[in-house]
Amino acid sequence: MPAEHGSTGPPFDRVAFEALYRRVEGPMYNVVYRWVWQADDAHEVVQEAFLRLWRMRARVRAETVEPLVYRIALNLASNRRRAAKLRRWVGLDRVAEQAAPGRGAEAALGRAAEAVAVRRAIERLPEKLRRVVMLCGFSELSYAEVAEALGIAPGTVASRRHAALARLEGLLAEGGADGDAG
Amino acid sequence: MATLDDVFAVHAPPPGGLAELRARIAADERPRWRWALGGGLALGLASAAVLALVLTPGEARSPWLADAVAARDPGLVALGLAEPAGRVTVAPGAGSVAAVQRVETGVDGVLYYRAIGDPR
Repeated sequence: MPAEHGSTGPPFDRVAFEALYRRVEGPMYNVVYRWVWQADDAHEVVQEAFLRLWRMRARVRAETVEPLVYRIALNLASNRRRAAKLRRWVGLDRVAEQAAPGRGAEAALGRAAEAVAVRRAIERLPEKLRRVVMLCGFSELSYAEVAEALGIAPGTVASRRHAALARLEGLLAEGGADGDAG
Repeated sequence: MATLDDVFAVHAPPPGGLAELRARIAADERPRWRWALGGGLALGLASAAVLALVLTPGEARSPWLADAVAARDPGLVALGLAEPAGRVTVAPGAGSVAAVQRVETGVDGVLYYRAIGDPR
């Protein structure tokens, strides 16, 4: 569990807060994007996570704040995903975004099919595996910090990451397979 | 076929995130200051009003009574006493007498009592 009390380390002030945002915004955006699948929603989750962190800044320690803000963001993303009735498949606007401009319709369709397959594979991962593999894949957190963010043992992080990657490879090989875990 | 590289393809967040966050924080904190300031002022005014009611002598709350006390009393003047300065207390259930003023005369054991009627 990320420590929130008994600060003995350096102060978590405005400078440290903004430095953390600059460093973490991109990776966190990519992590939560794999939950909400909308650029605007992912951006909103990152903003909200940092706003909440700012409100509780007096109770956080600078050295453990990064796992904490990731945990806040993941919870927000999960809640948003549950609350919103997200589209089942990648929308046409998203397909257009993901297709590189000037490639032509066939290339765009190919990219869209891949995007759909990737999304289906990620969504079929159990939540506990997805959290681990996305944090390990995008964030700069160590295994110990990922464990702290998720409230699990460091050894569990490694095993879950391994299991998640193997599962993803299988799902992608199946072409995303049928069904959708939502 | 999609690969793990596609799973971990990096998307860039929209630009201006830090500026937006600063604005959100400012907007989040501004109302709290206003509410705290407004609440503090309201509490202060209410406390002052309550204290004024509690601490102010009864005579001061009745303008006519204050005027009556301040007025020269012929009896006091005839006795050569100073202007009324004694405490006025409301005498409940005293019929037409609304207040009684007690004035020290300067002579041991001698007090002057002045009955004040309610002119209303």
